[in-house]
Amino acid sequence: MLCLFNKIYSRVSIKLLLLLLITSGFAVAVVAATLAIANGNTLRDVERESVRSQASIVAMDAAAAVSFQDTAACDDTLIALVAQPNITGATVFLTDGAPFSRQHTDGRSADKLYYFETGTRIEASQMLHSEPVVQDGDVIGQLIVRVDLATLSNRLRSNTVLAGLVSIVAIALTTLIAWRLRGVIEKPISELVSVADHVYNTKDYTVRAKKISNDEFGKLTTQFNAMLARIETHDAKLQEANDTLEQRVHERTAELEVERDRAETANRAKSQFLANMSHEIRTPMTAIIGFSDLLIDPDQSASERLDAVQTVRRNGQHLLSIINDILDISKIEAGMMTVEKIQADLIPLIADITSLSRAKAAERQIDLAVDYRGQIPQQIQTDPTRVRQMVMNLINNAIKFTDPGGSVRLVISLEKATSNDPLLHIDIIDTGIGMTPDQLSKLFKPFTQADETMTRRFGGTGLGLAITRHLTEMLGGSIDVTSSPGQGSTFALRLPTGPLEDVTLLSSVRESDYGHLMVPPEHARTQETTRYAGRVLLAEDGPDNQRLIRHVLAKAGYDVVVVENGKLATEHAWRDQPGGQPAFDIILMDMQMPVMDGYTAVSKLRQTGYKLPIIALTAHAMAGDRERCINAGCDEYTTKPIDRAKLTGMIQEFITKFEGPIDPPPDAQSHAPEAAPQPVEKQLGTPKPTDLSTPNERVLLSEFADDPTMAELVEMFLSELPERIVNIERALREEDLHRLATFAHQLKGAAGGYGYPDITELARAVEADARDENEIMKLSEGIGELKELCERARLALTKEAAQS
Amino acid sequence: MSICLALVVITATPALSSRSKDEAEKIAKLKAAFLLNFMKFSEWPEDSFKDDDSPILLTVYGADTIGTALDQTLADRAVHGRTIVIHRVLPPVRNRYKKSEEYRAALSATMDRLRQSHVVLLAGLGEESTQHLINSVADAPVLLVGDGKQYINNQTMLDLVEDEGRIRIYANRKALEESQVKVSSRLLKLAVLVGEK
Repeated sequence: MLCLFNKIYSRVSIKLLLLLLITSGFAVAVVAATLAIANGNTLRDVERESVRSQASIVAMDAAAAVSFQDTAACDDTLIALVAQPNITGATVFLTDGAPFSRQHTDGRSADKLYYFETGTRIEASQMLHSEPVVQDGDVIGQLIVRVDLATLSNRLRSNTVLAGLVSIVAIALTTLIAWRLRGVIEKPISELVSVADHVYNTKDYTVRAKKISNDEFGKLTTQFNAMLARIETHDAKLQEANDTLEQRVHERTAELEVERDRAETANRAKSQFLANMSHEIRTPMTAIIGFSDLLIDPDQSASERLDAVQTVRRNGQHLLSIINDILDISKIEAGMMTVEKIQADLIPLIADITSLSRAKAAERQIDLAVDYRGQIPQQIQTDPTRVRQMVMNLINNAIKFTDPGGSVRLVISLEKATSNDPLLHIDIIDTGIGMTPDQLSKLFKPFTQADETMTRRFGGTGLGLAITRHLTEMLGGSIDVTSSPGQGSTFALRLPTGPLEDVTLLSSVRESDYGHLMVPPEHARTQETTRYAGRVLLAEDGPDNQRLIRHVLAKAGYDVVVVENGKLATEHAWRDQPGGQPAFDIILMDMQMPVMDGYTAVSKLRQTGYKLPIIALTAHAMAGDRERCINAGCDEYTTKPIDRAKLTGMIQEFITKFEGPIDPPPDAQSHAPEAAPQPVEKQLGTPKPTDLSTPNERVLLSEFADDPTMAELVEMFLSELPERIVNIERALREEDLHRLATFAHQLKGAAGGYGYPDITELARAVEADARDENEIMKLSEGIGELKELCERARLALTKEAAQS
Repeated sequence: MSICLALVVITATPALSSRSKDEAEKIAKLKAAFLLNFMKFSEWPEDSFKDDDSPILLTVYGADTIGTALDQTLADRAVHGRTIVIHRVLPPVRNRYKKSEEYRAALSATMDRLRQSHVVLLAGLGEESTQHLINSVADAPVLLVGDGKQYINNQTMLDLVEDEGRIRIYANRKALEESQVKVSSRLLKLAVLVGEK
């Protein structure tokens, strides 16, 4: 009920109706009441006037009667008066107050009238009027008339009732009319409300409210519509902005996905790269380790040993080439590969390359020929090192994939000799197995060879062609290949020569004219036939390298002093200078050393005025290392592992350059031991030949087992081994891991120095475990293995002792 | 004044049967009061007065039946704002005139005097004189009042008739109608009307 009321009351038209009802009702009531009161007053006035006039007439009539004392006549007059409605009584008093004549209606006789002065009085429900009876200006009596007001009251009451009824009817009519006309107010509001509802429910801002009138509702409708229009516009804009945003999000997501895919692809490529590299490195490593094991086996014959050594060496070099390729590829990928452009003699360059490959070709019974066609520039502007690398790679590939009896030809010609951009053509044509188009398409990508089986059959990193292509492009040239399976392949290298205006063009060049440039085979070069002389200070912390380099240099005829860090090197370099003669002719400086590294040491030496040559030794082979070393003050730079011939040649070159050949190479055989300043060197006696005919697999031999110069040192190391093991075991018992690590570290270094890499490896593991709290459980096991290994090494000692 | 009149009426009422002197006196006074009231209820033509200050002339013709009561009642009274002057005229006695011409002249002169009056009260006159008088003043604005029953049929306008100690008023319609003096109908309501209409 209340709910319904509220619902009804909530409508504006109902409110308006109520408003109207209340206001009009109030107005009508006020008017009706006012009129009723006025009407009452009027009626009363009329009544009074009527009574007064009647009284005056009667008074005049009565005047004669009073004058002539005619009571009966007066009575008659009064009777006529009393016969009037409302008038219930009348009395004529004489001037002395005595009643002269009385008349009244029935039932009111008891109600005596009394005398009073002229005028009208209203008492209760009756009106009394006193009228003088005048005769010729003289008051001769007084007429008192009594009027009953009951009828008047009745009339008033009925009038009031009537007024009330009229009021009610008026209000009802007003309400009815207002209800009929409520549409004027309600319709525009309803329209607005329905449109607002629609908009709210459907979010449809396109609808508009119909304008029904031109009043304030009309204005409201107009404003409402304008507001809707604005909202619609804003909504549309917002939607558009949203769409744009969504579009952009999509685009960005797509871009990001592309980026992510690219990154994933790159990551996969890196992983693949690492996997490939591991494989590539493992393959020669396996061979090296395997053949090294063969060497250890005392049952091997001398020829078998030589074969094993050569295999180890070959695989080592292959490993090096792989690592070089990897470095090149990573340089290329990192964008750090640089090429130079210098004037280079073309024909000697080609001859040099082919001479290096000729031995291999001959080995595989493949004919290698160079064919110069047309005019050939004497010099071209390029990077000879890179050209050598590329052509060598292509020739080696061709040799590799050509079966014995086939041929590999280099065809060299010049294109557009007169133009501004002349190109040198180098075509490498083989009669090999050729390639399918599918293989061709993958040819220049890193790590791809024709297929996996080929890798196994032919070896190689698969990086060579990728590097070659990159280098070609960097030099401004191009490389193409045409091939079909079984028909051989042709690699066409195009290299810009640079301007040829000032270059001599040679005709009819023949390869044989340059045959004398052929370098002797490598094995011939590596034969240590040359003996040098000089004093070398070697600063090197690694015991293996100390020993190896000292060994190499001593064999070459140099006197070697070894120090283990940069600080000692600076001290030694200046210390021994008897008679102003420098103690050393040259310093070999490892760059990474404890206490003071090589860079600092070299800088210090140079600052203090040291002028003699210093050659940097470093394991770093990356771009920029050379610059760093040179900047530090070194004269030259070489990488580890060392190339004996290269190192000795380099040392001799610098010694000669700085001092001139001080001593012509004397009979090195006799000179070397005397010149060696190291007491250790002097102590070296003739090694006792190890009897390899009694194999004992458990015996762990030193790498230097065959080197008589090392025998005594190795022996000393072996005799110290039990003490070292005891120290380590004690440290383990006392749970002094720090000391344990120190002992392991010492053992690690020493074992390496005396040719026991296995011990070094185990010692390193033990050291690492000792320093890592999480690996303590593994410690005792590791130490056990270490102990066992050490005992195996000591077996050699007991064997030797037994044999001697 | 009205109190006086009232007193007169009251005192006059008990004495009815025996005609004592006092009783006669009361009647006289009553008649005088009536006469005064007659004047009050009557209107005269304007030209019957010389001016606004002219008094109303009352002529008692014949026997002076009311006597001093009249004088007392009317003394210092005014009707319609006019004072009242009382004249007493006797009709000429024939015997006193030697010649009938003289008599007639005297009579005519008397009539003229009566004609000049505003009110003539007749009393104690014989039929002939009465008739003569009525004829003589019929066309003059004179209120003819008779004192006594005998004048009822003689065309006097009003008559005062004593009836058991009360005074009755008789009014002759014809005479009233023909007269220049207008008598108020309210007075006539109180009167006994006689004569044909």
